[in-house]
Amino acid sequence: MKKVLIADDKATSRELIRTVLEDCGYAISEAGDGIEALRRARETEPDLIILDIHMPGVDGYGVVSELRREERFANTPIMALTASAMQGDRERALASGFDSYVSKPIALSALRKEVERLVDGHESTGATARSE
Amino acid sequence: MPTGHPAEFLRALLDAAPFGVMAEDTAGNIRLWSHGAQAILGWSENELLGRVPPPEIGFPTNSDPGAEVRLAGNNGEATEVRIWKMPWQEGTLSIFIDNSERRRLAGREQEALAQVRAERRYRDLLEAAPDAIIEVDSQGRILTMNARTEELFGYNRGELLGQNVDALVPDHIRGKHSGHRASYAASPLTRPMGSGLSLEGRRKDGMTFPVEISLSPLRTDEGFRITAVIRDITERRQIEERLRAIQEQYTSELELRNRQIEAANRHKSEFLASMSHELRTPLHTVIGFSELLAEESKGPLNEDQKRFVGHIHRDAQHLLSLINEVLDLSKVEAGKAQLRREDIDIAEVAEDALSSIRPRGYERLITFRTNIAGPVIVEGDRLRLKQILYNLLSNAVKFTPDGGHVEIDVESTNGFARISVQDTGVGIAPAEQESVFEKFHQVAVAAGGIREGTGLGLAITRRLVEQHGGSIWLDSEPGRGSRFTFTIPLKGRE
Repeated sequence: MKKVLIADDKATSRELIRTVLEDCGYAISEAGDGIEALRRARETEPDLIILDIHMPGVDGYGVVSELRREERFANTPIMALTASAMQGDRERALASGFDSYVSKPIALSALRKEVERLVDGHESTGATARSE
Repeated sequence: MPTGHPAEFLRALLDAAPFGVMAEDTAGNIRLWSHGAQAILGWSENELLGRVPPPEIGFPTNSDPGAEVRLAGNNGEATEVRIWKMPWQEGTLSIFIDNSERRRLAGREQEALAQVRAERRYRDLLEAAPDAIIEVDSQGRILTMNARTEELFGYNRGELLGQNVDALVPDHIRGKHSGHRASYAASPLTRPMGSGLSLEGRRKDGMTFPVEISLSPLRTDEGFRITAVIRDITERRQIEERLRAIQEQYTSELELRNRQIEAANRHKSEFLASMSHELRTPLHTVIGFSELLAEESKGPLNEDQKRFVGHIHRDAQHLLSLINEVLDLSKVEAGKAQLRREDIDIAEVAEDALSSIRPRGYERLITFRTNIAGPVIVEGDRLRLKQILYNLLSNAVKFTPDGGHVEIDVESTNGFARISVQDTGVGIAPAEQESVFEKFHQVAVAAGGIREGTGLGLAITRRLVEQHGGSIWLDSEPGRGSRFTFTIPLKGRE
């Protein structure tokens, strides 16, 4: 079973993603902030990490740059899932080490497809999905 | 009375007189021609005695006492004389005096008078001048000055005439002044003094004031002179200062205002960005969970529940588009800087937008007609141009009844690409046609009660067209459809 770590400071958002992905057969772990995300990632070594960008303490950018320093996370797919919609956010995220940038809200079908692509693809292509 | 013969005495007396005397007898023959007469006309008594006066002399037969006449001398030259003729017992007596000397003297007197007048006029001119005028010699001694000089510097004429002009120069530059004077004497030209420098004069009381000085050289019989015209520019300086102060005040107020506007704009952008983020976060879960429910993966819903979940989902989506468009409008209003300009075939963009909209038309049996004479190259932002076309096509489809048609025309005319989107929808009343481009305006539609979208699409569209240097307008009649037309300058036109 593939493992997915979801880090988001909003519990309802974590529950939504967890529900959708559990139904698809992934094993889910959760974190409510950046520090917890780092701890969980090191404990579980997930196959995919989904990070909110705006989190108290260490934000999504901080978590990515911490993880990318460690050999074992060098190739782990990491997705940014954010409600931010400012110009340049996507570019900044991809430049900071994220493999994928997804805006909230996203259609569930698009989310499922993007998770599948990242987990099975084993490639850091920088391709992105976007909700309409 | 001297002794001796009275006639001899009288003769001596006549010969000594500075005038000429001629005596004629009753027959008209000359009986006396004095030495004075010979001195004036050159003829001697020996030549004339006993003869009638030679007609070439031109003695008048009759004349008023003291009349001025011209008489010819024996050398033929005319001499002007005044003549008195009077009878005596033996004939006629003529006394004449040379008038040319007197005339010369009178002329000289006239000349002197004219010169005095000219000098007085020159002096009046000098005194009436609004500027101080000073004449100095090569040593700097003041030779001439006018009334304005007294007034300006606070000295009277007696205190300055003959004094060195340095008295009028402020202490701190007095040392250099004589050097400047020497170099001016070396290359004397009429020019302003110390051009580019601010010059000052010094009053008797020690006060200084700003001046402007023009110099002109003058070579006279008595040596080299310099004329200086000195203008007091205190008032002008004050006006300049005041103007500068006003200008500085305006500039700083303007800068402050600009900073405030910039800050306000930045705050507005930051506010919109965080508002958008805060709104999208809960919408994300509202939309997500309603979608989850609709998928019925956690158990089946009855028909009412399905419909209710559908309402939640659709309205949440609507709210999302509002948020997106408000954000987009604020970006568009922020300015042109954000356009990514490149050469674009707008015919191709039109085809592209059309293919995005076609599926929505198919569902409702709407047919599309195109009349595109491509390529039509403009300089613009591809995504924004597509957004303009998509918005117009989307509106056209929205307001066209099932089975209607939508037409798009692209052509180039008079330096502009001209694109129009025509529908067979309900049309828009003339009274509403102006306001369709305003924010949050939605056409009141009776037929069908169509009311969806955000009311921001056309406001954004118009701003995008204007940012590209074009314009947009609407032709419509209720019941006969609408035609939106916009223009974009062709490449190379701007």
